[in-house]
Amino acid sequence: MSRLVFLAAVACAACDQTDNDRPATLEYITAAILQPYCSQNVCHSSYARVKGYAFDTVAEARKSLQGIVVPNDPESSLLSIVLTRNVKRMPYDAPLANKDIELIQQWIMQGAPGLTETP
Amino acid sequence: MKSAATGVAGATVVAAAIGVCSGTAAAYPQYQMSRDQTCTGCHISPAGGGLLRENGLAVAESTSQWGTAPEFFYGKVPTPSWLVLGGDLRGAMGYVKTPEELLAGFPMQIEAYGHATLPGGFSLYVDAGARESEVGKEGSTHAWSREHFLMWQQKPGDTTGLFLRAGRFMPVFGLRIAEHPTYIRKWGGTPLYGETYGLAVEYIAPKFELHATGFIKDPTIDTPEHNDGGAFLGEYRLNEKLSVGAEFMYTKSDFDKKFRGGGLVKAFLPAETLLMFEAQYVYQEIAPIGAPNQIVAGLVGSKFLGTAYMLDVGLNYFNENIRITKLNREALDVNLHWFTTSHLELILTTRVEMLAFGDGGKTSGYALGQLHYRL
Repeated sequence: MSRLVFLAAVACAACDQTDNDRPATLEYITAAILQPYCSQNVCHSSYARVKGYAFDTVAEARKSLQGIVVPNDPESSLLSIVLTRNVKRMPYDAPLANKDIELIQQWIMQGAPGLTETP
Repeated sequence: MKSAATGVAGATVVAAAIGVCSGTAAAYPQYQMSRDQTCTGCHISPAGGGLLRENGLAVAESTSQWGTAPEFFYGKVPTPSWLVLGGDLRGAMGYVKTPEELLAGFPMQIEAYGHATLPGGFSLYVDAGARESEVGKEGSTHAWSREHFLMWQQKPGDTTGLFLRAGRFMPVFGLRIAEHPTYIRKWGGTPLYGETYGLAVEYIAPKFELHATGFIKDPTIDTPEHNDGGAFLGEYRLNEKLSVGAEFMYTKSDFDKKFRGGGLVKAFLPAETLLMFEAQYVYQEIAPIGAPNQIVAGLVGSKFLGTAYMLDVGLNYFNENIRITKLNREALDVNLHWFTTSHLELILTTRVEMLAFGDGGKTSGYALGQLHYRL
């Protein structure tokens, strides 16, 4: 019974799915993508800061991204490079969805708003 | 050339893989219904996992290939009746595809536990172990205590009744599957190292159990979860072979709020097969804009094969934003457990993970041999 409810919920959700129109903001990208996929466990959390990067809060993400994002230039941004290359691709445990990568690149293309603002 | 590159990359990935794959010894909910009706039937903690009671030790012995004395250090280190000691050592090595193909090996857990019974129904539960140190505090953070709590029990020594806990522990929520990469843990509110400081009120009866926990983020160290909140889990056993549950969790961080609501079902089918299902609907509110709704679900079939083997087949589903296409991911897990002695478990754990059923990004996976030694 629960499985039927679950499948129905998925089916209903799929009915009005849209394309990638999510807000390309630092706050959204941090909370929806970087925190759940990159900063869990002991990777890019404030605790471990693997390679010096932490993405578990907006303030930490802002600081970390300043060194790996070139506004308006995804191809030169290390963030975009490590998410898309085949060797040493991030995240190590499970690649990001293409739609998430596109949103991050869109944010960079738009000048990476919020990257240099102080909280 | 490929093997050389793989070797270098494999060495590089080890440190990262520790973060990816490290673990803690949690309970096997598969034992519930097939071996006992409640977690407290085998474990000291009402959440399950960690130290075993006498009945849990007996189950460890009877379900292993070669038995051996199940007590702490095979019973050769006697402890007074008020003190229970234990520990877990775990490590893994094998093949990882990320999508780069690598060989990796890494330690997962080095932890010791102690439970001291105090007068008046009180007891103290503490674990201590090694972990990756905190940046900037390397000298003082190689060791830590993931869980430490003071517990009061209405019926001291019993497996049922009212339990109150205060301290650092994982809020009781969901199926509490041991394997932390399962989506219902990873994105379901109880990720690895997601322990918080909290106060729990728990009631356990043969027919039902209730767990309510209020918690705050650890003020002393950074953890994966930067949330304050509350969690509730209620489980009702309709009969000896079927139970249903409801779960709710609210969390708030500096930049988002999440509300989770869901349910679970455990059905013990003929031929020693247990089916477990959990689904959560997650509403996430991100300041100052955006409110993605998510679905996290898991279906696990578990079957005991003879005395000492257990096979799990799990399906995982996570949709990080149900309004947007191709943001769903799926994983098929197959784990084979071999309980060799009362203390030593060998596990072959495998996963194939897809994004939008292969249409939303790179497919990944792993096949790891895991060793778990319980002191």
